[in-house]
Amino acid sequence: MDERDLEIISAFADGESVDTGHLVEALENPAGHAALLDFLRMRETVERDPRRPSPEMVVALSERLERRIPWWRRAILVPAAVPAGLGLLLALFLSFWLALNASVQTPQPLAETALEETVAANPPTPDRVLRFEEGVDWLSQ
Amino acid sequence: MPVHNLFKEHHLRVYRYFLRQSGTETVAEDMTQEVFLRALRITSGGGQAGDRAWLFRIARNLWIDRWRQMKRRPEKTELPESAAVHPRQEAQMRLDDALHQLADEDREVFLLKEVGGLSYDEIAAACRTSHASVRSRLFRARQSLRTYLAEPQAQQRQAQQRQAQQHMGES
Repeated sequence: MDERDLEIISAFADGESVDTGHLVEALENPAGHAALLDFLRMRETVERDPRRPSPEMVVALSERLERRIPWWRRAILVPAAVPAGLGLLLALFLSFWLALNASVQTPQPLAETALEETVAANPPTPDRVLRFEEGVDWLSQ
Repeated sequence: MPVHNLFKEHHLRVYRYFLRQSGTETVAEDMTQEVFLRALRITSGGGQAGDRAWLFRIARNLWIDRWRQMKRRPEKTELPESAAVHPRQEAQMRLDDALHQLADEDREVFLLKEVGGLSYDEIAAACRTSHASVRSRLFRARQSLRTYLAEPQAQQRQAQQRQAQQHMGES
């Protein structure tokens, strides 16, 4: 029994078309027969794998896949989102510009201005007279 | 077919494909999610959802990327400590061990056939190779697996025979 016989048996196990005469010859050999049984046992082991993904993962992913927006609905949503995004950008720009201009003008201190205006409108009434005498308080030279 | 239908039908196959490849349940789950999310991105972008073969082409490409990453920086996997193993699980573990003795391309073809359930032509398209190459790789994989699996089986049979002889001797 050579490798070609075993390859034919392997292909036969997969349902591939093979040379029937060659296959019969290969299977008549006990080694070929044993090989076919081993190949089928391997398949059985693979199919009987009891391991499964966690139910949490399966549920979460399944929900995520079903919730997803299809591309055609997104094609409608995207053009609507563009003007909204542009409007938001414009509003941001305007508020930034206004804030910048407001900070450039430096206003006078409020307390000082108010005091000056009050004094100019209502001067205080004099309550004493200061008299300076020549030779006492000041000298002409 | 919509991606969520593909998921319902094939997620177990995809998960087992990654489990056989990686040997780690968390990696298998992560990779399974990645396959379906990628499939979703493709279809959301206007691409056509395919069939099982299309899904396994995505899975294979993702596995190759992952494999390259792992080669660059190997991940440490923690093995469970002496957990009780069911005989059916033991058969699966033996098969996993044997699979990891195979050449990468032989294991790939074997898993796409036996776990993915793809035809020779679909495997050839996924692996960018010929039908004849798939046929010979599959045979090579099976023949190697037979050899690896026969060793512990022979040891097990010998142990059972010894136990039986001891039992007969005692009685």
